[in-house]
Amino acid sequence: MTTSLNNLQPRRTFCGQMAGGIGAIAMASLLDQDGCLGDEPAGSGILHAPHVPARAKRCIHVFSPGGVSQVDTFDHKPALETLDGKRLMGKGEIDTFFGKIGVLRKSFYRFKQHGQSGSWVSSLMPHLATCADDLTYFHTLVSRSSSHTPACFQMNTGFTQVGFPSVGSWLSYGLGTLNNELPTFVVLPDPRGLPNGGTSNWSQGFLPAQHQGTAFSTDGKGESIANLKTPTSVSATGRRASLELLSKFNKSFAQANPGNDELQARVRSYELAARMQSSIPDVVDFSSETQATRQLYGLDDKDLAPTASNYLLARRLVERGVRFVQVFNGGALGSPRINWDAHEDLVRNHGNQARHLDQPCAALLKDLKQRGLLDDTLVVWSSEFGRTPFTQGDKGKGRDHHPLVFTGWMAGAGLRPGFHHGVSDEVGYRPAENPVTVYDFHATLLHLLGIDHTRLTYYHNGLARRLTDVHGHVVHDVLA
Amino acid sequence: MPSALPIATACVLGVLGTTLNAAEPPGRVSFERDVAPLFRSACIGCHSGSDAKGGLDLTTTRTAMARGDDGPRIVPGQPAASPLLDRLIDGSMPPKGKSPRPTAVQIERVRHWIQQGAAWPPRLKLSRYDMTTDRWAGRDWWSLQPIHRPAPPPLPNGLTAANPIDRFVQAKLAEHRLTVNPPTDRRSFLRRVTFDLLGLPPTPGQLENFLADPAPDASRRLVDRLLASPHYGERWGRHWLDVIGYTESDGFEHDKFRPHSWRYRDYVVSSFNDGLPYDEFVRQQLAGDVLPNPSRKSIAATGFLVSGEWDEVQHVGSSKSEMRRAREEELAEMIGTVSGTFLGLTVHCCRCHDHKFDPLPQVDYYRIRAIFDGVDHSRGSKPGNRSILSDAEAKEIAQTKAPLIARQNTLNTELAQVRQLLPSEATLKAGSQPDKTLVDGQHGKALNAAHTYATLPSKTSYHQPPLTVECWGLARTRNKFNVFVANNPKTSEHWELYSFTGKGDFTVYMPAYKPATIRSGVVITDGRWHYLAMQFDGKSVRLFVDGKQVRHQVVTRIRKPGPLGTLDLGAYSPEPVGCDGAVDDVRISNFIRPITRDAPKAFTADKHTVGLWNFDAIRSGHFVDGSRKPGSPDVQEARRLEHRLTDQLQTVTTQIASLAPPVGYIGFRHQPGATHVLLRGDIKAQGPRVTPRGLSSLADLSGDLGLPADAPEAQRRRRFARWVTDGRNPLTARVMANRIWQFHFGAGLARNTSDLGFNGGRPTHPQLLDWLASELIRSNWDLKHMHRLMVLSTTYRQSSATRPKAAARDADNRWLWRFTPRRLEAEVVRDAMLAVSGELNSTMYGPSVQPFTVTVFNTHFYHLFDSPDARFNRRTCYRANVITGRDPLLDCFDCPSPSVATPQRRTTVTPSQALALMNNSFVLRQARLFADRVRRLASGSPGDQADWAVRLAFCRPATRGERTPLANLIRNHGLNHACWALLNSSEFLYSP
Repeated sequence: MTTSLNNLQPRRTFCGQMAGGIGAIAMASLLDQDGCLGDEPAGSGILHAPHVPARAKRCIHVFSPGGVSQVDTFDHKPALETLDGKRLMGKGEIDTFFGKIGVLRKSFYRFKQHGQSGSWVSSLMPHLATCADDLTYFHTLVSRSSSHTPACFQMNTGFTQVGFPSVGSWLSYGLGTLNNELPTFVVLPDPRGLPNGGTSNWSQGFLPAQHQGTAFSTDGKGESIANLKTPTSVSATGRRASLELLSKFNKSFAQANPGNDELQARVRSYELAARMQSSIPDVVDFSSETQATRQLYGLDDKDLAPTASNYLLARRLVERGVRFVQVFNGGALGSPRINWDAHEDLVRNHGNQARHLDQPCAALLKDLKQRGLLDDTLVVWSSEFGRTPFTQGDKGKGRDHHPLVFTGWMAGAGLRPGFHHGVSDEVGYRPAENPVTVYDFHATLLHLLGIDHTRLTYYHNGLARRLTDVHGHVVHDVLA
Repeated sequence: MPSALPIATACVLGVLGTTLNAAEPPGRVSFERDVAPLFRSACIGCHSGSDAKGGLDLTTTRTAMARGDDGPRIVPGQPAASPLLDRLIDGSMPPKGKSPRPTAVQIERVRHWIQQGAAWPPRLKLSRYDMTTDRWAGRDWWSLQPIHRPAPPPLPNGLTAANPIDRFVQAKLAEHRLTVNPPTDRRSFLRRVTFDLLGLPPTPGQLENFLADPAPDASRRLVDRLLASPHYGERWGRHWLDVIGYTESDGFEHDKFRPHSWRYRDYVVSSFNDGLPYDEFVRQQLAGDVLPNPSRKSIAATGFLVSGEWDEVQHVGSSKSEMRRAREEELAEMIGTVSGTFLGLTVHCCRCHDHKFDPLPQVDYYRIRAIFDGVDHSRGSKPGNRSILSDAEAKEIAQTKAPLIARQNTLNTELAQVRQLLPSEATLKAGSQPDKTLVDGQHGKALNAAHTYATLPSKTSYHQPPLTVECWGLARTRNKFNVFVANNPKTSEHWELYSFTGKGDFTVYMPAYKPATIRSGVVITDGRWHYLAMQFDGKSVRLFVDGKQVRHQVVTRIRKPGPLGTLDLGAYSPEPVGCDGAVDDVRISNFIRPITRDAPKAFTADKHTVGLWNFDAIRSGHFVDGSRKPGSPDVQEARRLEHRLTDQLQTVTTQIASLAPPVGYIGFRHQPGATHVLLRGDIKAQGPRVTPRGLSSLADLSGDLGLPADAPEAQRRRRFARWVTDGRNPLTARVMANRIWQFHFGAGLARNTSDLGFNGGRPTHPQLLDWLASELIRSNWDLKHMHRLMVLSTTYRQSSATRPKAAARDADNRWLWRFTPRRLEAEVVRDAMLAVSGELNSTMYGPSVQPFTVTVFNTHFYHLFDSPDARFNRRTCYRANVITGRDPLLDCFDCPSPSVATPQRRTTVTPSQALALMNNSFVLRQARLFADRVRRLASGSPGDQADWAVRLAFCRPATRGERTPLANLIRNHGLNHACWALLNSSEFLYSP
């Protein structure tokens, strides 16, 4: 147990010197605790003040695992029309994941320009097309791996290996919580199944335990989060009486052992737990939503409702001050496919996956906008990589993994709406200009939330670790 | 330029006084003494190496004097024409904030040095590692220096201490005007040290005994008893597993469970319990398979090398560059673990460039990599589960096994011979309802093959020519195969009587011969009974339908038959192929039985008959073999012999099985090719080749292992293991002494126990740390000796009470003026609940407890369950440590993620922790069982029950202030609630 360092020394002296000071670790955990349990909830992470003006207070990341084809969604490549059926030439050695390099294939969908920005969006995304002016496109994302799990880990944690903190954990650590009754970082897995790599995608890695993502159970089975409800076998009056006695015991133990903040914090943690017991059932209860809202998200469509509910839940969560919500649009690899991994038949695969993304995600954007929440909420959509502009195998109807260039977008706070950053080459194989690594993407995300990605660090086994490792540049072009 | 000097001088005058007098006469400047220190501390951090800033490299005379784009930087003899001096004077170099401002004296010396000709000893190469600065550690960094054994300091007036630890600590306390706390009470000491050494609470009996022991050496005997307990290894083994990041699943995409990893965990637990000297413990983990006289234990120890995560997908069917990349990550992880665990350095940080903070050039990373280049998790897609027997033991076992296997073979042959003499009952495979299984046949009842089939073990007599097989068969469908009798499997001396699909003609198939398929051309799929027969004399096959020869075919043998399988009646079971019809009377004879046109009556047995099944009755799921009379004396004799042989065979088989090699997840080794430096860590940018070596920056020990670049794999690890544990390697003992200290006192003397480099900082008590390190070596690396020293010290035994004045001076308790209270770790919380409820299952060792089911959807998904079964009530260190199968209860008490090396755990307090303690089914069950135990121990009175509950949970009697409200709670709401509250209480969860 560490003593009440923060009562005795100004907190500021400890910030920003994670790389060396003795006791830095202890401080970090103390400050965080303070963040989690302090009297003033807002902005109580390790950052005393934002490094740069924060444009967004909170963030929703819609993640589409499996690899979404850029040339069939948001990256219009007219040249593919004329090159359809030809071999890709002049790009050096082509090293694809499964090694069956087919022929160039024009988009399986028709592209049209949308909105005032004239953004090209394919017919696969009719609803998101109506939000075309609200999106800020990154057409030159580059991933480090062509293998799903390392690439997913990179998109979610910055690193291709297991064991690094996820984006949400870094935000929780850096910014703390905005509320006192819900977790800071919530994960909404696709009800069809968890993603490959499972819970590693929202692990806190080496950060303190409270920064781990809290996964809600979204498959309609069991409680929303573990241990929320007191079993009916425990009598309510007995529980109330024993909680009272427990609180008395814990207070007197804290008094008998003065100078140990943890013991005070334990007393408060039970009060917070009690608050969560009422706030979580409340947030998952949609009965107060209007019919119009339900329709907007597609909740009346029985097949769509389970996945679409996650997007509405995401709005309800950020509305109540959850800092970071990650919505999974897809699950693990395997057969039948429940993610975007369209090796065999792109039309069948993407057609089905897009249903679970297009309408509810567009609804989320519109809903946030209409409530004024989009002004200080950042919405991010990405996959872990794209798909090849050529088919997998000469006669293939699918496309292989493609980390060299792919498209993602952000929307909301602090961004230039309808703006397109970066251009991929004529066939969508490599960036033609302004490549954006996943590190850059993360640096930009953190920047929008007021964080300098080089300064949010945590000492672990010899290094001041960052979300962006030793890389990353903020993409200033996209900022409003 | 002259005008700039006074200003610069004025700026730095403030710091001058203590260093040197500015008016010092110039005299002869020595580069080494007067200039090099400045270059090292202020310049070469940026101005060195291949990517030197501004193209200026100040490490050698050649590069320093070289011309830049706009001329020379240093002009010997002409300070005024030397831009280097200008930059120093105008303050633009070194840049603000990068390093402290050079003093005017230092700048003056540079001027004099240039003035006097800028002489630079020709061989002298400056390195940023020459000395420690405020930005990085040099080769003079404390942890790299030899360990000296400092004498314990004399104590300040009036203090005495027999334990050297206390003398070091109290000297430091006195220095900081602090004093040690009085000793804690004996009860608290007992609870503290029991949790500390065993990870379990003391029992009320142990408390009584200890309190009742007045002897002055009671504490020493207590500690001896604790160190002798097997629970000690479980507790300290778990610490070790934290340090190395031990995982029992692959992680990444598949996260497959590793069912044999536990051998390494057992190795760790038993090594602590057995008091294995630490240096040997280190050597075995690095090279236990290749040390002289390897044993099961030392080979299992090398599970250490592959204790981390592994990406299977990248090793099977991935692009080439992905495979290379994945292998680099794998080795970096391995090297990170080795260097952090044993050396307390972050060697993996110099994979792409020289280490930014420690004197570790990039080449050191690749030298160490060359040591481990031959270590693999898998061979292709084959996971690294291997026998942990040494070659000698494997040979010994093979020798023991050889006669047993010979005996087994003999018994099998004898048994087969005896069984030839026995009738063989055919076992019915589906149902035994006579109404479905039997239909009216040619003679009496017949086997309804459309519904079921029968099977029995085959015999050599069923296929030894001369051979005649007869049966009655009925088939209805032409468009599929209908199998009547089949001797299986196809790799054996297979024959099969069936109707061929399409045409429906009677056919025999004998794949050991050519031609294999012998068709009669006579259609039999007409729903009627046919008398079918085959004669085989070894050279030719004759087929008969209804007594008429319909085919004669000469055959030649093309392969040797494999082992026997089954004889199937009405099916070919391996595929499975059935028969849409029925089978009646089957007879196998060991001679060429004449087949006549007159349909015979029901088959009967004679001396040539080796098998006969009439299918007229089912006897407990079997059809009788009529080839032998069961009651006949020769059959009875054979039956007795069969039983005897079967018993003997079983014994031998069990003996052989017990000799099966134990398997551990220890990975594979291969002889690696050349190891090259990868420039910037880029797999495509190959640099110079390296030889396997240790680190280059230890003061007293060269990294040279005397190995050529192509040294054998085994030798690399063996030499490296010796280098790590060489008495002149100062890191190994310092790191471990510091670790033990951390686990006893809550924080290391150097706080970052896996990083004694620059970022890890300097120890609070360097002398004490060195004394402990030397003591560790002196005691022959005896860990239990170190525990004894520490936990019996006054420093450890002091109370945890705070004193405002001391707290104001040293809030962090760096100088150890009190004992720092600690929350129990996740595993200890769980184990303590089990101990208090009386449910702890103290079974040790063996395969991990798996409280989950697994479904595979490419990824392995672990579905946790909470079972009250005693199997799951073992200590938490035996729980399978699966990356995505973590226990949320342990998680919320800061149990580290498997595969993340965690040299020190953190303590957090969160609402989800409170929720888990409130509602988790395990906690609620233990509360209930705890209450049951109290009911058994106490009388029915609530007051008595309150007393017992507190004694068990807190290891002390209840106070009056606790007793009354607890008794009230028990009276009004029941004992379960009271026990639940105690398990939730801070006092239960903390060790003050």
